[in-house]
Amino acid sequence: MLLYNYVDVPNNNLLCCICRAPFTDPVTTTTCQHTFCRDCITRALSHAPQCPVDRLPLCDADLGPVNPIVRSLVDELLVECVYKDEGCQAKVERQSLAAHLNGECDYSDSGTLKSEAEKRKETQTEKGKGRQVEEGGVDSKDAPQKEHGGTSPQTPSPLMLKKEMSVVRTVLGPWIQNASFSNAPGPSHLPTSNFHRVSSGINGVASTLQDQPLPPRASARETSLEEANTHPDGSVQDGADDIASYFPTEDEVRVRRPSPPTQQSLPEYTQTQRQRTPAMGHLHHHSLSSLADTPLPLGALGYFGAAHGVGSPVGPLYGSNNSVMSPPTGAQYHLNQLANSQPISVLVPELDLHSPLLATTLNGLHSSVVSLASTIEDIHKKSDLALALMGGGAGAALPGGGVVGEVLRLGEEVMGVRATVQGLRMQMHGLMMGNVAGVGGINMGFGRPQPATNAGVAGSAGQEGAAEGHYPFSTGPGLQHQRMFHPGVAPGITKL
Amino acid sequence: MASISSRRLAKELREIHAEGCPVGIELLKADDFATWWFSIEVMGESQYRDEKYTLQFRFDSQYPISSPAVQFVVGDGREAPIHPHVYSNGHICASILGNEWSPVLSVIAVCVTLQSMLASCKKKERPTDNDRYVRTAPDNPKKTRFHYDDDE
Repeated sequence: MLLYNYVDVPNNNLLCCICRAPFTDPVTTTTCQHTFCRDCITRALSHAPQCPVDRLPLCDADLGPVNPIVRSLVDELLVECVYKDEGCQAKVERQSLAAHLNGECDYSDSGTLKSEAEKRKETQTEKGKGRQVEEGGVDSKDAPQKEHGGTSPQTPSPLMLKKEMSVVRTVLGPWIQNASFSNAPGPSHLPTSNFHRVSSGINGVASTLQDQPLPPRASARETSLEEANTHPDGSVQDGADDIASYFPTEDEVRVRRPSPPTQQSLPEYTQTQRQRTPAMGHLHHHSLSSLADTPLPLGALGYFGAAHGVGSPVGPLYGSNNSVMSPPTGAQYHLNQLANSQPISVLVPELDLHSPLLATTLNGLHSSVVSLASTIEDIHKKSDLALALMGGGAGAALPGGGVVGEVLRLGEEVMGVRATVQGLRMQMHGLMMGNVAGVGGINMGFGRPQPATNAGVAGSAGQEGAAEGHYPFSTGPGLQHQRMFHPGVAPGITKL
Repeated sequence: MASISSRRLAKELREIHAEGCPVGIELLKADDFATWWFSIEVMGESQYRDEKYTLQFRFDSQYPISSPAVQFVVGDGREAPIHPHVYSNGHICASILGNEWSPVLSVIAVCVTLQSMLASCKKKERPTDNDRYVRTAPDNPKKTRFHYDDDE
């Protein structure tokens, strides 16, 4: 809702009952004929689906156009110029305020007095920033934006947004189609040149990315970004095989433990093999770094600041998520990763709502979506692996994996414990028998008729625990006597 | 966007300063767009003759889409009026503060409604579940799910 300063107190009937200001973009309910600002009633409906005036049930579909008379009445209300504090005394009809600020207002940035000098100064500074620009095309886009830039320095006016949208559309126009790459200007030169650039090593890559943002390359990366939008399944058409090979398959995209956002991730990328289809993660990797450095494809030099704004929040995202390629030894890598059990962190950059640029915000959103997609992929892969490894029982440390193996091991442990218990029981039995014999002085006891006793003992001890074949009682008769006289002595080592 | 609430509250404040409050209602404090204090008094013959109470309004960023948190101020010598819909901690059980709130309503409208709620009271008594409620009540009355009786 824009804030106007009305010259006269407006008629009560022209006030929206929600915001208590004259209607802005008014709508009338078809059900009960009440009028509100479109924004106000939309917000109110999201809270409660009833008309604020009479509480009759109401929904978005019941909002219709207002009587044109009402619209004229509010549009013709006199408002003061927004630059009144700077001295402009103009009072214009509300609907004419925008035109006034663009044209006759002497105090706005794009007004007649200041405009020429300002325009000249600003285009010069933008050129001086060292961007290599298609000057003809950019300048022509510059001029109209300058005029509209003055309307609302802080918040984007609808006019400015429209301009932005049309700029984005014209610049990316040739590429926002379902056509193959061959239709787009210049991308056929790309594959080899880009590949070489990447493989030129850390420093080489860093420098080439930053120093020479040539429009065709940047725009081709942009193209691939756009292509990703139009071909979400990653398939590419005939003429673009070379481009496709530049990007890794989805298999190659991994989300490793968060690494510092250095350029060291790039050389790993060079290990990519050529025959791949574009993967979202890496498209993001390249196209966004290029976007950050070369705002040119967006066509408007006035957006430098915002483009940088995109670059910085995207930086850490780039560094920690999409930067790293997996080495060709896939299986090992997975095990290592799982063993480390590193938590996957997805850095989502703050939505840069302060920037008036729709395009940059969209790019930021796109990159977030892309990183989320790659994270999800990775999680899928991990769970697949876990399932695959389950049968092997390899490593009890595998979370979720080797469950069967774990069970088997536990089973064996139980058997072992049982056997121990068995042995201890035997010992105790022997001790007891030894005690009895010792007290009575009778050569009695378990040891004597050895096989029989063994069998008897074994029998008495139970049938299970067959794993333990060795009982302490299976010693020679001589020792039995010894046991008799030393009842306290444990009859040998319990073998387990 | 918090500015819609500020703009709307600024408008209401301007109206109060320009046109004044209805009889029996007085603006005590409105230094910010977060908390306002009013004093209300029931005029004419009623159970609450010559009694003045202090009402506290608390606004959030969604005002007027969302209702303000309204309660009587207790403590420092101030008490909540004894009324079947007013708890001893100052919380008020009123439908217009809950499910019957509408963005069309305003601070003054709420004051007037509460004034008439007091005026129409036949018998001075506390709500039946007053003690239980006061023991466990939240600080913000909007958090309470009141059940509105259809008496009167």
